Amino acid sequence: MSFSVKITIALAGNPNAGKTTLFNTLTGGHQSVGNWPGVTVEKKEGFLKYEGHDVHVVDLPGVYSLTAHSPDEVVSRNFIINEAPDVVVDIVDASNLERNLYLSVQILEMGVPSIIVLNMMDVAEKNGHKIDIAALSAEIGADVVPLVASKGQGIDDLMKRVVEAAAKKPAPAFHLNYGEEIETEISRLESVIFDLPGGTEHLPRWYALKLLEQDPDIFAKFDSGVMRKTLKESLDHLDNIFGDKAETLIASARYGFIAGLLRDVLKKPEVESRSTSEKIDRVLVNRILGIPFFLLIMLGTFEFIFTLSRPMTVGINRLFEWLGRLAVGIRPEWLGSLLGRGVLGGVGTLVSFIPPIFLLFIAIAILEDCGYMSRAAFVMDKVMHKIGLHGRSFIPMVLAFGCNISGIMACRTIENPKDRLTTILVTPFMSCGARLTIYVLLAAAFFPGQQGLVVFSLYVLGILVALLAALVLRKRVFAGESSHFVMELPSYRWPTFTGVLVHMWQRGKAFLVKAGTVILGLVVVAWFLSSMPWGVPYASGGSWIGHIGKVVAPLLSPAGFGQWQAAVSLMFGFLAKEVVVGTMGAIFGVSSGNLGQIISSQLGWTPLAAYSFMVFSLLYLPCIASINTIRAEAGGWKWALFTAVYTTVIAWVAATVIFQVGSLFVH
Amino acid sequence: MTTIRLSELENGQKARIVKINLEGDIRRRLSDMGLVNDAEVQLLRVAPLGDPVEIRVKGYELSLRKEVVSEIEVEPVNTRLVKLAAGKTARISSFGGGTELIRRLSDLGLNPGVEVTIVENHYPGAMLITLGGSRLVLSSELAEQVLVREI
Repeated sequence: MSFSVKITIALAGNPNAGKTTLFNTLTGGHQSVGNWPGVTVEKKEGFLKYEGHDVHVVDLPGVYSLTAHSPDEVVSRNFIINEAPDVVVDIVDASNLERNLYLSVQILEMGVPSIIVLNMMDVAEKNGHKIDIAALSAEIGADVVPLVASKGQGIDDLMKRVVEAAAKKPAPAFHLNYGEEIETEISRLESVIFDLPGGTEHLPRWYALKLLEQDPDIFAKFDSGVMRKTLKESLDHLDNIFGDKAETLIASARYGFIAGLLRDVLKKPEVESRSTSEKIDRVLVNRILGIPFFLLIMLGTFEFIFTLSRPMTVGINRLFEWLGRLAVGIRPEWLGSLLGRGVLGGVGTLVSFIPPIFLLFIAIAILEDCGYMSRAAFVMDKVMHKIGLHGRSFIPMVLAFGCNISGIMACRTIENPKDRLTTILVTPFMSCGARLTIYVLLAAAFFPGQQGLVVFSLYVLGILVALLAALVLRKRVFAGESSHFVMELPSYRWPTFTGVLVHMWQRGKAFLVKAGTVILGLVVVAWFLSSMPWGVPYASGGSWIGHIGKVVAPLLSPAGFGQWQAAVSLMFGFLAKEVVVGTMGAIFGVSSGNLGQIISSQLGWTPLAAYSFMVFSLLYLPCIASINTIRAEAGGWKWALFTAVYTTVIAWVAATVIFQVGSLFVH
Repeated sequence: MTTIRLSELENGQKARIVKINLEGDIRRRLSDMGLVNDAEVQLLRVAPLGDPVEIRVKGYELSLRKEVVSEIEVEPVNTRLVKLAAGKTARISSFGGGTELIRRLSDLGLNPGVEVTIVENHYPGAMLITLGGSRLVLSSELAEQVLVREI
């Protein structure tokens, strides 16, 4: 007889222990990504069915400890205390037991039903580590399951234990002996907690430990005159005896326990051979070779994206041109015009960017999953150091090549608020996938044979402007001490197929939804403004859009593109940068095929003017979705507006300087 | 390991005496106070104008003139992690920073007594070290605060 029970499991573990891989393997595509309430920490949930049970999986953020010093730790801890999941599955990197078990001990001390998963057993075995699983399980009083998440080995065994553990009564909390002096202080605090209202709920011992570790959240929970006094006495007493802070003593005791435990359960080879990752690192992140390798990998990535996507984009363009011509024939005339010029034109623009953008997301996912992305941050630290930031700020900037929004959101991982804000504000200068459409079009028309070089120069210009802006912002506007920075590098791993696909799809879907809704709405607006007053030739100088463009255009003439058509397409580019090309197409009444030549002949641009236009497109006003993300991540409209204004000013100055100085040399 | 003058130590740094380049009375007085070859000394602080220099030896504190201190050659016991080149191995002795720093490093397994190997040092950029089974990147500001004993 079996009942179908709803089981909630929480996945906890160190970053890089393979939590995400296990989460993807367990839940497949059935997952949703949101935010934990009140903090900008990503919340991932998923569902699976196992032998008739509905299993709800919550992926807690990767943490090294369960104190309250970072939002990630607070979120993980509060979920375990307040939501009381049926089982906490603690993922441990079997090849690095000592450090990983530090978190496990803290989870076990919370007295929740837990299963320890020894992931990456294959790596541990390859390194010659022999783990006595039965002995480990007996000593810590919790189930221990060996697993290779990337290959799906051991998943079934894990799920069996999860169902068993969920049905069982929880075992008593793990009790680590901290030594006589600390134990005395724990008992004293426990008795104070007991006397407070609600003090007997959960585990007084765990709370007492947290108080000794000077955890601000737990202290606020039990704040009282008696508590203040007792805690101060306890802390002073320990400091007097040991000459060290209580939290250091507690951490040392935990590590001491783990070291003793590992002497019993872990056999390592006498001399550890240098790991493969270390051998690779000695070359790939070498002091001298690191940056050349990084540039080579970046170049290879872009080559991969453009070579593969070009034929697909051409095919999609042809298909939509053909559909558009069919649709224009539909009667009544306004409907045909709306469908053909507006809807199909706009959707076609969007769809033709799916290949390069999804390939870019695949490339980024591969770079992240194989472990290179954090190495790039290390290699670039020396450069970033000069502008007052750390290597960590570089990862969001690379991600922004795909879409500025994912880059801006990735800034969450930067702990120092000044570093984070600076990185958010300069990330829009990184050339995103949408801006690429403008370069591809204009470079082909104005710089035949040199497209690659022209496009590359724009990417480099974007990086340089971002670094320069960061230098000024960090040293002048957000002046202050550079923060300490520590980061763990994962082992190099072969990315898994599903892992890369899931990563790509999560980012790609967000992009499609945003672009789809924004673009569809916009093309209708653009079509309307281009068609009114009814009867004028579509998108001509006499249409409403033409009038608007003529007002703005003179401002742009110093930069070399003072035509109303250019002004209008740039204005629409605020909605989404890929719309710049689409608007040009609509104005000149053609799809992307020979649009470049038409721009060249109708606007009378020189190659210099075209380049200046591309520079402006690169640097000016980020798209509305990016601005909105900046508002959310930087905490207010103030920074969003600041970004809008300062980027546009820089764009105008840069484009004008390039055009005016260039004009002295080129005639 | 290279020897340096006692006066060149940083505040709080410990070292072993290798050679005392002084003769006569002053040399004997130093010996009486425990400043002999192989003794461990710690530089405590230097007065604002560079003179006198306070040191700790055999558990008590001494105040010495600068010209005396600069004639004592020592071998530093602790160096700052940031000073070590790629390929070196060292054991963590202590931390120079506050509790928040200690807490974060100890969460990552970087505790006194732990052995670390330097894989790359990109000073003034970050450094890459290995400990146990993990690889950590530390900014130079952070590695500055970690005192180690070279092995």
